[in-house]
Amino acid sequence: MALPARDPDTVLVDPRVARALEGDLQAFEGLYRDHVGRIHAVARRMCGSAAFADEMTQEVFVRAWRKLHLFQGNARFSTWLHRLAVNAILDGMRREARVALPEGQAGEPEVEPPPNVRYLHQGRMDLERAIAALPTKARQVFVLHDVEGFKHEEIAEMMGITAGTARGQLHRARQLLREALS
Amino acid sequence: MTTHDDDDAIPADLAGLLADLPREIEPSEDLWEGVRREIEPVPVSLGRAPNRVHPGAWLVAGLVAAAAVAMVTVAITGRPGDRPRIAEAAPAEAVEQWESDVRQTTDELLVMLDARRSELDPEAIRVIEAALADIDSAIADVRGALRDDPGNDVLEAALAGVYQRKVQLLRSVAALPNTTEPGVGG
Repeated sequence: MALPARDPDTVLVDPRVARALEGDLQAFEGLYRDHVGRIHAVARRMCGSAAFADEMTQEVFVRAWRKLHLFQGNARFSTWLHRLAVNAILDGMRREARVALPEGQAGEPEVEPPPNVRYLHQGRMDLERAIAALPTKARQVFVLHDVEGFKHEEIAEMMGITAGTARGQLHRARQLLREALS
Repeated sequence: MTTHDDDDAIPADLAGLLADLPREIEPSEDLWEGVRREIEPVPVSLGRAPNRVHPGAWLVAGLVAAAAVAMVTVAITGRPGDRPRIAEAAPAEAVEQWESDVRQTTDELLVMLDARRSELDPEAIRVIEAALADIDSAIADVRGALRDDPGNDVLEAALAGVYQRKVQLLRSVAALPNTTEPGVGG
């Protein structure tokens, strides 16, 4: 399962990726260490729950190991991993939704901030809490668009909704955040 | 992922706060051990010292095959409550291309196994071949299920898992010591 041939000008592959493809767990651990904070930040904000974000983060890296052969090397590994992570997290949240209460009936959202933002500026902490308290779909769209920089069309494709619905959810999320932060 | 269109620009009142959010948040605990447990190869150790064979060693290859078969069974029957660590659904062509690549790897390893047949313990060969037969049977089962339900991400993950076990088993065999050489293994 060797990496496919690539244009040398676009080879952006971390050498650890090639070693991981050959089964080198130590190389993959290095990739994990470098990227886990970034991936967990996405999971934490999309999930709104620290424990579930941990579970999703672990699943992202397991999935990345199993899908590594599909990495084409024409984009940065971090970009590929980020996209894979978003898809994995959305899949995981869909699975959870099958057994969860309908939106709005799940009780108080978890408000415990992640440990490394506990002592940060109050405004930032309020924003983290307010994001976590958003309804699921609005939170997902807000995080993907305003925090992670995806376009509505990309979000629509990943979430299985229309771009118009994504725009509507974003508008709703921003309004709710303004109310929560005012 | 791309930059926003102008009409999707983040409102100024939120932009300042968002710009201040940390890009990285560490998990509540080190998750690497959990990841490693999920992905590390199943240890297969069929090498032995003459006259000091641990009976359990011969079962390892069989256990590898059994694990593969069990995983496929779960994937096909969808036992309630199980949440397999699945890969995201890929287009059928991508699955076929991937399977073709993996087959090339397993074919190369099988050629290596054949070349080493005379060097290896006959009992080890017998166990390995039985394990491979079980794995191939599992691959056929999940392949058949995928024909009925193309794009099923659980089945694709099962297929990937079974092939992974086949590659692991064959790589382990390739690394076995030559038991016909004097002094090998003790």
